[in-house]
Amino acid sequence: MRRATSVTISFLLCFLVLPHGALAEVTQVSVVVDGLSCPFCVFGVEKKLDAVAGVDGVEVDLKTGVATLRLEKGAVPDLAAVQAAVEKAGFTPREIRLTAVGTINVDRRKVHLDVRGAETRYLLSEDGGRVKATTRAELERRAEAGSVVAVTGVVQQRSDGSVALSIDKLEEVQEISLKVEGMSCDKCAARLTRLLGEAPGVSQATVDFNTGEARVQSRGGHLEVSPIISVVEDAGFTATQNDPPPQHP
Amino acid sequence: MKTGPYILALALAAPATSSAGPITTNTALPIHDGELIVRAQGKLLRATGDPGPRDRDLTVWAVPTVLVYGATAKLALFSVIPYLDKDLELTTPEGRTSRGDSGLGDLRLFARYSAAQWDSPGETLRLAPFIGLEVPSGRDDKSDAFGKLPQPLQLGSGSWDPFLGLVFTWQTLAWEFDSSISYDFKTEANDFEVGDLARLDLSFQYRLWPRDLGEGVPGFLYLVAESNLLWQDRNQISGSSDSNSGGTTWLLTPGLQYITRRFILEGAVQLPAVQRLGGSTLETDLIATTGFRVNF
Repeated sequence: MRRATSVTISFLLCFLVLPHGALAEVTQVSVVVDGLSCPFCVFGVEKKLDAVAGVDGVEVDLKTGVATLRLEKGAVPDLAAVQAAVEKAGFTPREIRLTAVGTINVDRRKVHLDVRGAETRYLLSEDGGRVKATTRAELERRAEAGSVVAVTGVVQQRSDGSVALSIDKLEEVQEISLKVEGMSCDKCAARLTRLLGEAPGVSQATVDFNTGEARVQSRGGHLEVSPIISVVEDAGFTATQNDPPPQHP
Repeated sequence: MKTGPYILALALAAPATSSAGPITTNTALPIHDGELIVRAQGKLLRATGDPGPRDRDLTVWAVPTVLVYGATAKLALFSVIPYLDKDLELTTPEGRTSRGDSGLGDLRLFARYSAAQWDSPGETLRLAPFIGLEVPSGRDDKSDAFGKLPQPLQLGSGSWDPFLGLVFTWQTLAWEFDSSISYDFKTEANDFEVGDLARLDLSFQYRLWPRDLGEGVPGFLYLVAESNLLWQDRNQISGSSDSNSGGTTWLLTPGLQYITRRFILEGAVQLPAVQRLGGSTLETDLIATTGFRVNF
């Protein structure tokens, strides 16, 4: 079983090649660790996972056995390394759960999530297959609309070579891009990132000092531009909305 | 002077693994790849009740320091070096006197391999054999005004003694059970051979606090109950069996243990429930243990 899991995760690596974009396309990775049953053992799991490239911190919940990884900005999570880290700590990784942002596409009666900006494709459902947390018709409707969605679920290797992502949660993603003026240093950008991230309805925010672009993302909600601009202005800067990205027909 | 409670002196420096788990015996819980654990204990052994005219009274302080290194997730390497202070008071024709020595005892080196593990959510079962060697690093030729100290009062045995064993651990979020069986093969040195030692150890730890696990990683307070059954063969002196040695001792051990991510604090008292010892071997009153462990 463990060997099968190992092969699964190794194979996943081939598919998980993420861009170093301003907004991470895989926003969260968590691993369920079996066998973890005392605080002294947690240290080893935390230490090993924290050493994985791109991981900025680890929080373990002993009761559920879930280790949640905080990723560095734009980092590429190496899922095989995540699995190996748990094994080197002396425990068994049961499943790896992640949230990926992308678009839904129907290809030869199979529904996929194409991770935005990457060569990564997850199988969400095939004809007649069960779909968790939504319906196949809903997926096809979102595919037709070209919606950007965030899917949270468990990644699994399938016998046909594809990688399946269960849809435990599916949220519509809305993004607003702003041109910010008045920032004089990286600290300004960091402060604005924090303030935008705390704004109501915002799931994720990034501010690039070099380009002066601020991007905010909402999942499952609806963002108005004016309150976001107000946050920027209250922070002492000015902002105008960049042109929205072209929509799919 | 005949041999004293050597059986318990051995117990003071018995192999003790250092991941969370029992206080007086072993565990099969993992030492992660590259992990270093430092464990130190302070132990006090008192043995009195000599029915003979010498009225022997033995006090042993021991501070075993354990270093553990995780060579891999399955293979852990251990070293145990005890600092010992042995003091035997006895009555002689010249009056009450004291004999003993203090310093580093024999070094125990051993390896433990995790041969099997069954992990499930919040629960693990593990089986791990271990094998090691006791190196005669302690001084074994100390003399005083009465001549050379008897071998049990020396800090070291002078002999190279292999040992092996098997440990089983079943741990859940609420409790832990450990069982260890081991055998020490004693060899001859200085015309003296300590009897082989077999031991069966059981340990049960029950989480007293927190009663309900919240989020994150809270510290655990365990109530610990342990049992140590030790059997030792008779010593051999110049090829002859020493009737004042060997026997069986059964110790019961209540204790407390506080565990966090980085350290463990613990304390326990080993109390003899049964002592069937050879001849005039001193019986143990108690062994008190406190200690800590830190991982890096």
